[in-house]
Amino acid sequence: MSPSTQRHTPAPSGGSANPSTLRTQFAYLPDVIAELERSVPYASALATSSSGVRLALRDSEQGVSRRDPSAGVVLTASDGCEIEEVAVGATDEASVRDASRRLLEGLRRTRVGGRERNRNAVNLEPGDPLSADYVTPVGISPDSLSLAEKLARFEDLRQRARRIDRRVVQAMARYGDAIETKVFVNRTRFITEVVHRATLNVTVFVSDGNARRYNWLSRGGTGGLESLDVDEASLANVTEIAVALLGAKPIEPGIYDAVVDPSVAGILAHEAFGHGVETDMFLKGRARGAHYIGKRVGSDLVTIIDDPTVPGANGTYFIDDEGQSSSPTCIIRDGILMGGLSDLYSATRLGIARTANGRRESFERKSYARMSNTFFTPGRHSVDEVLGSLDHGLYICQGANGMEDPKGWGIQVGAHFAREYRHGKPTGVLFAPVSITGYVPDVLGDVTMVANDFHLHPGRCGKGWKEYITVGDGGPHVRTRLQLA
Amino acid sequence: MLTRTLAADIIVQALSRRREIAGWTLTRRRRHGTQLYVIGRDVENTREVTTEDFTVTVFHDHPWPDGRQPGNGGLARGVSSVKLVPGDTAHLDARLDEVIMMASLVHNPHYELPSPETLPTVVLADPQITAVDGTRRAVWEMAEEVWEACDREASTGVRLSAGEFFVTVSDREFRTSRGIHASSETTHLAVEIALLARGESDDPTLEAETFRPVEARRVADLRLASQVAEASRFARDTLRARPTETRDGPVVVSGSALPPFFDPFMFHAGAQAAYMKLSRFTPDHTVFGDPAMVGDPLQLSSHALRPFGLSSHAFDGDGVPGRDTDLIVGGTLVARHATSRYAQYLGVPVTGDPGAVVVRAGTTPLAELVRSAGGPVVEIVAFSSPNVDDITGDVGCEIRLGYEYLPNGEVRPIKGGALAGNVFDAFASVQFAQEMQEALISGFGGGGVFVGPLGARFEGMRVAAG
Repeated sequence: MSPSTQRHTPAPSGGSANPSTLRTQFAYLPDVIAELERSVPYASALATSSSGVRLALRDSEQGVSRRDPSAGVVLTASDGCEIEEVAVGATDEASVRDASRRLLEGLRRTRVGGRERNRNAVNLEPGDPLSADYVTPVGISPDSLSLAEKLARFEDLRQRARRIDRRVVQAMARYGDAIETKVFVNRTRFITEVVHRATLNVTVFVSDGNARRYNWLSRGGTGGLESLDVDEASLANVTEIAVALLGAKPIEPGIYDAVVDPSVAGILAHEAFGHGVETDMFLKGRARGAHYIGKRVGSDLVTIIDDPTVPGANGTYFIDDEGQSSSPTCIIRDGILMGGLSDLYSATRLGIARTANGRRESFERKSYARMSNTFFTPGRHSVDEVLGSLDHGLYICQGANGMEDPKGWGIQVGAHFAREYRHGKPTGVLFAPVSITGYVPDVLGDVTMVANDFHLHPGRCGKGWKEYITVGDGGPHVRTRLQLA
Repeated sequence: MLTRTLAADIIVQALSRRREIAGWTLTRRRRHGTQLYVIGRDVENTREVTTEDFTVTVFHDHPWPDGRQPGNGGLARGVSSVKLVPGDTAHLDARLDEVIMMASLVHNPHYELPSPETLPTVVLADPQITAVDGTRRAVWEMAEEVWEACDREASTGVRLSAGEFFVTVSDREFRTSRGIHASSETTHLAVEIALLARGESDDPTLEAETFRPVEARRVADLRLASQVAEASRFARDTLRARPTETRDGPVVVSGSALPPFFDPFMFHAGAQAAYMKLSRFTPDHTVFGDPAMVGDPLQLSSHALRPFGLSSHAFDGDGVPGRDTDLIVGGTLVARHATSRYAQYLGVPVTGDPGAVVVRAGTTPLAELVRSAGGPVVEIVAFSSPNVDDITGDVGCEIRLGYEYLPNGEVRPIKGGALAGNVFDAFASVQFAQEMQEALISGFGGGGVFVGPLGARFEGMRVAAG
């Protein structure tokens, strides 16, 4: 999947959650906004909902449930200095109008409270007029399978994984599909969005009677069942690696020539210069990147993009949670830091361009500057060339987690394992687990080869310790030097 | 107003009419709260949030497909859940049809819902916060305390970057087809603060940051002034910290960096892990295997009855009364924490959902643990992220801030690099500090609470250079 050549476009509505239904259901919102704006210079409304099914299958246990519905409305008002919001877990007109009254009461209370007001005026702009409806294109609808058929399909997959090796002690399959709707309204915009989502995770646990290891594969993102196919080779590979990890060694701490696979590259991009350029962190003085715009932060082989329009990816959407239409943002081009990812408030306060990155965990939380799909762009070498260049190094695989440090530019990435390479060939020795640490400009500055492959992986991203949202990250295989432990 | 639209009684009546189900549970949750977001002394956003939902779980008994896996007369138990929101009033019967259909399609070994028992009294709500306007007053009280504490740090070059303040009141009503009808009210406060320290240079790229999440059920329990003071010290020390060097000597992990190291012990002590064939622990056997334990004996319990405890509860998600349970005594697994379902599957006593992770302190002062006898001792007080693998026990955490204690008595701050090792190996020769602490395990309501030693000294973990 090439992020530069495939773009989604607004699609006709369909399914049970469709734009015309949403427009009818929330036809009262423009009036609520108009009423609020008689008292404040800016107001907006965001109505969201989600519904779907989750399956959790393992030995002797099956679970099925509806996904947590998250239907609610958040009303936002700015008095030109601060923002006040009221969020309610209801979507009916009476509840939302009551929320509107409470919002104005809250603003009045703030004004008369005797507290010193913000010194900086914040004039939030509603954006150019836009009325649009968007729906995720779906190849194979989850509705094309009954629940019984889904259970049978994924239980069969799980059983196949279970039978591959006698050392498998447990195999789990987790499937989920969802329809997420969003309606954004301000005085110039009435936009609806319906995002379809399907995900699959298979985890295999193995034991030799003493040690326990595991491995997993993940599929899916936005769209339908078309992205969930798992062939026998992939399933066997997951199990074979889990078994091989029973003999994995701890890694000797040190600096290594390394090639990272796309899942690890994605976490590097995400943690290094994804979080590091969220512009709400600029506003808080928490991001060193604010002082490096236009400066070199990586080798000239490094280009990193955040793009919420990649078809089928996990972090794909049409509008952000503040009504901004999606478009890609180039964070680093040829090693030069270009700019950040913004939400409405930080873009306004900083006087910078808005990007479509104002996102909420749900209507219950505020909007922050957040990533969508963040990745290295592909280079010109084949994967074989990149791996074959490792004279004595490691091929680091299966990115598991990461943590950002926008102020100090440190980085932590956890990878599930690494393969030793000598003279361009794998030796068969595995190391596990592998922790990547280091200084971000060093990691990106040492990039010497970028492969021409491209894979995005589904993930969830928090801000600090909370605010979890769906994202994608990835890219090609990348060669660099890394501090490992 | 929300309760008018979909009262619990209406759902209970609808469930009681469904003869095809073998049982049900209903949980109603109402929450209201205030959130305050500040940047320095400026307010960015003030939010009020109100939600209400109902989680219905139904149980459906039916024959196993193809006659496999006999038990309880050959019946399998299907279970499924649906969450209803007030807007579902008009669709209640359809939602119940759907969840019953879902339960009829899945097959699990049979287990019974718990019977009613006398529930303990566990105080979890601060009346000052549950009072009218209490959440709004509390967020401002918390913000003012942080601002004042930061003002006191201003002369040291430390300032508040940003703060987030959350106060939520929740009430939960729980009912089951077996006759349990219980309720509880809780208050929850969460604060995140980011402090910035600047040295003699005016260059903002040379500043250092400390980020700190804290949670409690009462404002006073947050100890915000001391949290700010310690975070300020960490920020200043980060500013002058030198890169970590690789070494194999003793390592002390202390403060909020330590609690995640107990996660693998809790996982493997669980009945669910045993049922899934993932537990490495065997009842009445040492949890360390080979090599045998030579350090302070590990004493680990689950406490659900601590007043105002974040992980405390009068009853769990099945209606099982909260209780305190010893799990590991002297390094030996003496009991598993077991929900009703997995207790029945394994034939072990039911304990309900775990509460706070309580670990017995050692006999050595922390100051002794970090004292260098020969080579340097490293103390780590903050990781970037607690990356501890529950299954394998492997640790690989970037060091955000630590201290190097040299034989000459000098103490130098360090940062960068990583701590690597395995908790099951490392705890076999651990020494615990005698001072106690209460800390979050992984922050913001997700990971529970740790009550245990302020620090632990390990001989078998490795510090890698940054």
